[in-house]
Amino acid sequence: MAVRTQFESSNDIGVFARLTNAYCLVGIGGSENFYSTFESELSDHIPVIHSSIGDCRIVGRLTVGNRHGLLVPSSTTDQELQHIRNSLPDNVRLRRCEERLSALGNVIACNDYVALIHPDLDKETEQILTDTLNVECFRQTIADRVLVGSYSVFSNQGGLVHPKTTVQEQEELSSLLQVPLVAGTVNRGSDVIGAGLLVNDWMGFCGLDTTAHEISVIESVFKLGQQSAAGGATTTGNTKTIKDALVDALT
Amino acid sequence: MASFKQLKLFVDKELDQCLQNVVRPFTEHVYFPETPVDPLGIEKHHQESQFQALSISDTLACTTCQIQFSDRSEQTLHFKSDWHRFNLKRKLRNQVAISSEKFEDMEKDISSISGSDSSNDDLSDSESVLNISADGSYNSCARNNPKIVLTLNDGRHLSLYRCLLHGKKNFPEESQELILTAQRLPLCTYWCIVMAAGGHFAIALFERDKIIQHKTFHKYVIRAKQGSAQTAHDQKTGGKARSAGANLRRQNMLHLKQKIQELFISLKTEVQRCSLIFVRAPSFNQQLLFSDKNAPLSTSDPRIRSIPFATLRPTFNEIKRVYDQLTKMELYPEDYQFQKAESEKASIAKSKLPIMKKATAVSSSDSEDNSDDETEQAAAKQTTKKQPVVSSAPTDRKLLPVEDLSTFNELFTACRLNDIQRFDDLISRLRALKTIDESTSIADILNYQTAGSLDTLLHIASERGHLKLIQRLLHEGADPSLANQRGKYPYNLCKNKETKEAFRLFRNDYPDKYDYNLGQIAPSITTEELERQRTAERERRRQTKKRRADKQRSDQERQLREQDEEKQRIAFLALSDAEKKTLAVHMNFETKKRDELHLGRCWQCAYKISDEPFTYYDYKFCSTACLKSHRAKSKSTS
Repeated sequence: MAVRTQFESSNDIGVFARLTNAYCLVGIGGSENFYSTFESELSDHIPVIHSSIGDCRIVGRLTVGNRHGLLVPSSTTDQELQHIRNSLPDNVRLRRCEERLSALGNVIACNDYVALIHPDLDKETEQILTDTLNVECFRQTIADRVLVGSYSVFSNQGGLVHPKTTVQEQEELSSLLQVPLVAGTVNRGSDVIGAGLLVNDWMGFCGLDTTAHEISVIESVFKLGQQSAAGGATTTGNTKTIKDALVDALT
Repeated sequence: MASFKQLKLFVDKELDQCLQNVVRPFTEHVYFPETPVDPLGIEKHHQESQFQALSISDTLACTTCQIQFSDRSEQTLHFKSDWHRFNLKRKLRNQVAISSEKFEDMEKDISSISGSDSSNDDLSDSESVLNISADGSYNSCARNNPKIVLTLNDGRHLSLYRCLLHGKKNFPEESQELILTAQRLPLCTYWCIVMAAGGHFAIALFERDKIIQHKTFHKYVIRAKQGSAQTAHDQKTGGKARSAGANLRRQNMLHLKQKIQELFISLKTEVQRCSLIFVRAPSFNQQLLFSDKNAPLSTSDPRIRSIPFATLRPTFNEIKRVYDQLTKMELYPEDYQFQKAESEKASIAKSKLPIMKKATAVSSSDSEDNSDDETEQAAAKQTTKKQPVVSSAPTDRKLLPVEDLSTFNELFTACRLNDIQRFDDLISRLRALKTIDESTSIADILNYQTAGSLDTLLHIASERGHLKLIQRLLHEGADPSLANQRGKYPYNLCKNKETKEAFRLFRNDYPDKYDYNLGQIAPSITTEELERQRTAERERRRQTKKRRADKQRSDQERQLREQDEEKQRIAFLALSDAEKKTLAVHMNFETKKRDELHLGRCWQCAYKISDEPFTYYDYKFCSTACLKSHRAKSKSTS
């Protein structure tokens, strides 16, 4: 299921939050509205953490993570690091990373197994990524754009990429990432997918402007609709995937 | 190589057809990323069925590096390789990907391509070096090419000026946009060409091949013989020039600006109708057209284009030539070799000059006022530069035997140091020697030209103003009609008037010894004449000196008088009104016989009253202002 939400009348919710299968990081806003949306949807399964990174609330763009770990930029203060460490589940690794391209969320897109990274990212950072997040890193661009984290979002189920990605490039990426991909938009035609969309393997959040059509695309590609829509009549295949995701999350 | 065909816009119907058939820009001329026709992938969104078939693709390929993989491990390995990364960065710069072999070759040359943290910078550096050297398709260069090549649907290529399609600022981002503009070009029938340079202004409005309206005028704004407009010069120097000419030019600049503005107002509707406006306005002319509140044109106007080739003085003929040039397009056959573009470009650049010259030759034959065209001036400069070489080349240098060369060197030093004693010694020794040995004469040695600068002894002596040496040299047979390497004769190099006179006196004494006219020596002069001139000069100098002294003396006197007067004035000013009155009475008694008008001073400012005084009661004043202020003062005190 994909939920429409807004951060202080901004539709770019991906900027202010980071969602993974094991935790959710939410920036500190003026009102608790945004936070409570995540709280109500997620708190039964994963911790929702209120935090800032280097006194900034754009946590979604500054951090990158999956169920194995979380990478924060060098601007993160010790206090913030301590707070996040205390709130994260114990099996999630936390690591601060000295990288010139400090908006890690913009330059890295990842799921639990693979990551697409900016072609100019340091080799050292690549190594940290492999160690902390347990992912294979591929240097790639999306529709000739280097900010892969901004222009694509993918979970273990599927992915949404920049609308100008060619079919050939999509197929290539899909085979590389081993997830089905679709080129599309969020927030009524915005091509900055990463800013408008937050997904993990069972839940999605998108900006308030997102059209019904866009939502339907998102739900189908990230396989978010099945559980809720099906109710009791889920197919065995779907239950298996949910089970897999749960097992993944608990291990 | 197959030849191309030249077509003219609005004239040849074939060209319209060609423009309609444009499919894409020629690959080397692409300077923006190629994008698919369906930019937002809308088609996909509408195919709901696709989502049912959402699947993980099994294409094992990399489009960036253009290779196929056999299995997953190969694929992952490739996407982590430096080669892939290198090609990615090339792609982002719109460069063609390179093959793995080529990359390996490069890697050998560049040790730091992988591994180290700083590899990024090294890589980009080496890349940029590579681009220039290795492959010719450096696409960002294409932007600088004045012409663009478009490929037609039948494979032929059409070359036209880039400025017809877009200006310098609004580059199209997609080839589709470019193609559309090209297709629409035959519909853009209204053109305007504006040229302003050096006080000349020319404008013409074209519709298809016809000129609807044109106007040219000229104002005197350029500083004659010195170049640059008066206004520009003022800005540089702070506007010091106060001469009549300078003021005239400044005024003319304003007139020119006003005239241009008025012209544009009268042509407003026509200019608005134009779909393309070509402008040439170098340096200060830019502000005539653009920088003003009510400027005739604005730089942000997308129709404004610059003229991408050299132009001459703005005249009606020149505008016609520009239009002709702009509308010309070349149609190349399918198999035309554009790869040689680089070398061709160089050759075109070389051949441009003769073409330009030809053009000037044509235009100058058309009208007389074109005779001092820029290019022709440049050509003239070239010839003048060449002249010395030409003139000095035929005077083949005589070479001297070794022993004579050493004496020449000694003479040379003597000439340089003005060592007359030594010079005489050397000459007498030479004379003694030459009575025995007849191989080279003294004159030959004296007229020997040094290697490189081709200076003779006479050059050296006259340059330094050694009068006695010059006389001796001329007597001994040193020829003053030999030019040095820069084409200068000894007389041209004379340090001062005396040196010149030495030459002229010698000419008088020996009128037939040398070719004085060739040596550019002024007419001869006798000693008496010279003496007369000198005395006259001395007399004149004395006169001016005397005059100056007189003036100084009178100045001093006047100053003294003024000081005296000032002192008296201050003393008078210090007096009270009562004292002034008594003083006036005294003065009246003392100077009864004299003209009463010129008595006394103004009661207020104490200056001497030279005219009829202004009076009230007994008080006298130099002006009404003084009177008023005195009255006001006395009122306030009483």
